[in-house]
Amino acid sequence: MGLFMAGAKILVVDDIRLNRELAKDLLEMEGYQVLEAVCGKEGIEKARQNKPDIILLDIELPDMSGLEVIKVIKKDPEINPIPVVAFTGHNQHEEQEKFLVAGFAGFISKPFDIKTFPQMVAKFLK
Amino acid sequence: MNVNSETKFISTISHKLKTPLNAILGFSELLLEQVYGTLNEKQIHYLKNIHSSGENLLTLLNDLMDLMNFRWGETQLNYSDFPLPLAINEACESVKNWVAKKNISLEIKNGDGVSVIRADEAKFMKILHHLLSNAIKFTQSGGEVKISTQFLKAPPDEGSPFSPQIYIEVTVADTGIGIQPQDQEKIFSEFYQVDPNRSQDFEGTGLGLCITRELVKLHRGRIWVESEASKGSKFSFVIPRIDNQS
Repeated sequence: MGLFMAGAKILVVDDIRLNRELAKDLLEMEGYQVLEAVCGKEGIEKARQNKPDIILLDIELPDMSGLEVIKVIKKDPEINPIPVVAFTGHNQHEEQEKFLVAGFAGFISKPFDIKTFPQMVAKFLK
Repeated sequence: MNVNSETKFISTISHKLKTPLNAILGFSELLLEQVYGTLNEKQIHYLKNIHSSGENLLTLLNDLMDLMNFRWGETQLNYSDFPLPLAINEACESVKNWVAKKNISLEIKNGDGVSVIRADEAKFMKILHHLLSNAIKFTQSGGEVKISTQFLKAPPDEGSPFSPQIYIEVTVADTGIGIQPQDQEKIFSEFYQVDPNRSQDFEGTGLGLCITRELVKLHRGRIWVESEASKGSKFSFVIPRIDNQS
C-alpha cells in the first residue's frame, strides 16, 4: 500500500497510451488515485481543475515540450507548489541538470523499474 | 548531414526506440510478478524471454548512445575524488545476484595502500561494470572471477614535464573460455564477437569492450588483455591516479 499518502492524487502527462496505462496500474495498486492527460494543454487544464499532489510530466509531448509546460505551471500561483517530476527517456547527465534548473522536483527515467517505481514517486510526495 | 544534425538525429531515434521498450519491459515484468494470477512454467519462460530481449535492446541503445558521444567528442569527464576499494565493492555488489545464479566465485583483492583516486566516478563505474560483466558472461558455472587493484609508480615518459606519478591498475581475471591470440586486439573493436557460432550463447551488444577502451582512453589510460584459450582471460587497465594536467 501507499508508503506515505494513501489516496494521493497523481497526474500522469504522457502522449503514449501504454506508458500512462503502466504507470496508472502500478500506482493504483499502491492505493493512489491517478489522473491522465495526453498532451501539455490537457495536463495544465487537469492540474488546475484537480490540484494533484504530484505531476509526472513527459518531456516530449505533441503540442508543447515538457519544459514549456513547467514554465506555465510555475507561473500559476494556484498550481506552482505541486512537485513536477520529469518522466523522461533522456538519461544523459547534462539533460537532467537542465530539468532541475527549469524547476522540476526530479526525474524518473523511462524505461523505469516497476518494482521501485511507486517508491520513486512516493519520494516526491510531501 | 553535419555533426550537429547527425547527433540530434541519432539521439532522437534512440529516444523513440526506447519508448515502446518501457511498455515491453514494464508489462512483461508486471505479469511475471503474477499479481493478476498464477502462470504456468511455459508462460513464465516466454515472458522471461520477452523481458530479457527487451533488456538487451535497451543495453544496445544505451551503448550506442555512449559510442556516438565518443565519436562526436561530446563526452566530458567530471572528475571527483572517491575511494577505489568502495567503488570496487559497489561494482561487485551490482553483479552479486548474477554470479550467485551462475555459481561463480567473485574475489576482491585490493593492493596495499590503495585508497582515494581521482576520476569520473560514473564512467569509472561503467568501466568496472563492463569488465566484470564480460568476465562473468564468459565464465562457466563453478569458475572464478577475481578483481584486483594496485597503485604503481611509473617513471615519466621521456621528455615529459611531469614528475614520476602514481598509476592505478585494475585487473579482472576469469577462468572462462579465453581468447585466441589473433582475436585479442580485435575484441576491442565495435561489434566484434569472437566466435559467431558461439555468440548465440553469449548474448551481448558487442560494444561493451569498445566503450570500456574509450572510457579508459578518456582518462588518459590504457587497457589490454592477456589470455589463453580455454584457460581464462585477464583484462587490465591503468590510469593516472591524480590528473596532474587539469
